[in-house]
Amino acid sequence: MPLVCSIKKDFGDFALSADFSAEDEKTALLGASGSGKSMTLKCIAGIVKPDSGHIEVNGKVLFDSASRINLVPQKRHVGFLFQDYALFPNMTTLKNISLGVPKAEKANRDKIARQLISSFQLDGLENRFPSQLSGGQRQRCALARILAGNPEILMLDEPFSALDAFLRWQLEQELGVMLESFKKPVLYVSHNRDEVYRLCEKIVIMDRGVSGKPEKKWELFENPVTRSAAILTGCKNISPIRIESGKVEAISWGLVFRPSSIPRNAAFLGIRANYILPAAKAENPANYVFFDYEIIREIEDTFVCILLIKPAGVEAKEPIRWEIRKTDRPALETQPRKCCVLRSHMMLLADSNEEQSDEASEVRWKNVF
Amino acid sequence: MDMFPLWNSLRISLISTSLAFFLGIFLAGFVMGLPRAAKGISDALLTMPMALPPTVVGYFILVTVSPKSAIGGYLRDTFGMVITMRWQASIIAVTIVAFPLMYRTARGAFESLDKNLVDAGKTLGLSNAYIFFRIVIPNSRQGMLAGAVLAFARGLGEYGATSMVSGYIAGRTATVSTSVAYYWQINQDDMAFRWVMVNLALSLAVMILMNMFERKR
Repeated sequence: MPLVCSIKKDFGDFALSADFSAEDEKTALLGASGSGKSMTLKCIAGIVKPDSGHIEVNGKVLFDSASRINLVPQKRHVGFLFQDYALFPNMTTLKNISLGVPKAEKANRDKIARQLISSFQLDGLENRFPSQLSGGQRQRCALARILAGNPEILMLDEPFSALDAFLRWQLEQELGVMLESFKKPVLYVSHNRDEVYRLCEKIVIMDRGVSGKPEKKWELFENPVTRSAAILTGCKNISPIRIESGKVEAISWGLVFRPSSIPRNAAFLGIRANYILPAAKAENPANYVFFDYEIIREIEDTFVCILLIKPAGVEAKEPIRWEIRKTDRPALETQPRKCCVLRSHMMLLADSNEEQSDEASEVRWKNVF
Repeated sequence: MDMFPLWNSLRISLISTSLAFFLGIFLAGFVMGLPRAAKGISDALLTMPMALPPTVVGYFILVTVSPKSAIGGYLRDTFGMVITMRWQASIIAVTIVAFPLMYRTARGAFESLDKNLVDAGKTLGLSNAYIFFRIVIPNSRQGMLAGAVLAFARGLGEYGATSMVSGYIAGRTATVSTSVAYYWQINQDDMAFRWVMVNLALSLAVMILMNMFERKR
């Protein structure tokens, strides 16, 4: 495995437990802020020392608490792209990039740097300082500087978080193209599910310091297994559940369902806001669960109508969020107030990544309704 | 009016500031790398002269280097050097009193520096010495210059420790601040007033300089 990372670190009020591996592909660490994503990268880079565990990149052990190995960052050959790129403000583009060239290549330092400058389209900017570069040029300069050292792994820490939406999209495209040619593991840290989906192949969910298993991105989005994975993949409706004699009660909404089986660790039920349909649209009723609804509030969004609904005749603690295309909205008025959700779209969720690693949850929690 | 005190003050302050400058930067860099507990203790010790009355600093210097002490006695017997009651003694006094200002400002400048620059340097394989001298110091230049100006200003106005270790000897150890006290004591109020004006002018000049640095940042 090109990257093996299995580490623990206790910060007192926060405990990091990252346990995953990665192939020569792009793996995202997706998690809310403070979930330990960046800390995991820092541990791999050697900037922060874990309490215990093992880190290995392409067969080379970078850290192993049992055999007391802890290489300094200088000897790890990891490429780390910082959030703000961390270009040295007092040095020119050329100087910044040539500093990335390893000592062994000292004789060719200038030549290598100049080659990188032209392949990263920084020609003519050799003598500019970082403050004189645009956002995109800075990103390219930082990447060129990292790749000058021919790293064994590339780690990107929220590279677009400080940018506005338009620039962000442009830089993301540029980065996507550049990453295509990097045939070693890439770890990409972000809290933005769309960005992660576009740029990466696999996703590791980080939740309160604990990592989940690397999953193919479409599997994760299609069928998240934990509450945090559901939230991070954009699920808007999540309710704790009470399980009683084969029935699942979604406590927040006062709805009761009867799935065919209930996974042992199920603690929440999730329903995506855009997976709710008017009852009339159900093609094969056997595949759907139905309930009557009342509209509490209606919010007009850019491209959809957001309906906050609750099951009719039931005390609901929280409304259910239903997103419906604006073009479909008028038809609702002509139909009975009854909606439905495809059974396979009802997601039973475990509470945390720790629960997920439990052996019983190896089974995919799909189609249990 | 004999301008010796002004010249003496300037040279003492300049030399002391240079010493405090390098010591402050070096020790700030050193302390930053220490583990937490050691950091706290070193920080308290190094900043202490800021809180102590300068006369206490003067007392300690006298105890250490006066010809009656072990070190002072050795210097006198071996090299024929007597440090106290000479202008050179003021350099020690002013360096110690001004040091905390330089140290604190340098530490502040280092700490406000984007830590990612240091970490980026490490992941790029740069040596710690290179990172400190070529990245940390140049990028906290403004803060350190401000610290040097502060230390210089403090040095010019130093009275307590200076008067204890160097006394007031006209044309030999007199400084702008000890002159004010001396002339006041011997009832030459007009001379005292003139030196007061010199002090005011000096302070004003230093503060204008300081503001210029701050604005550049």
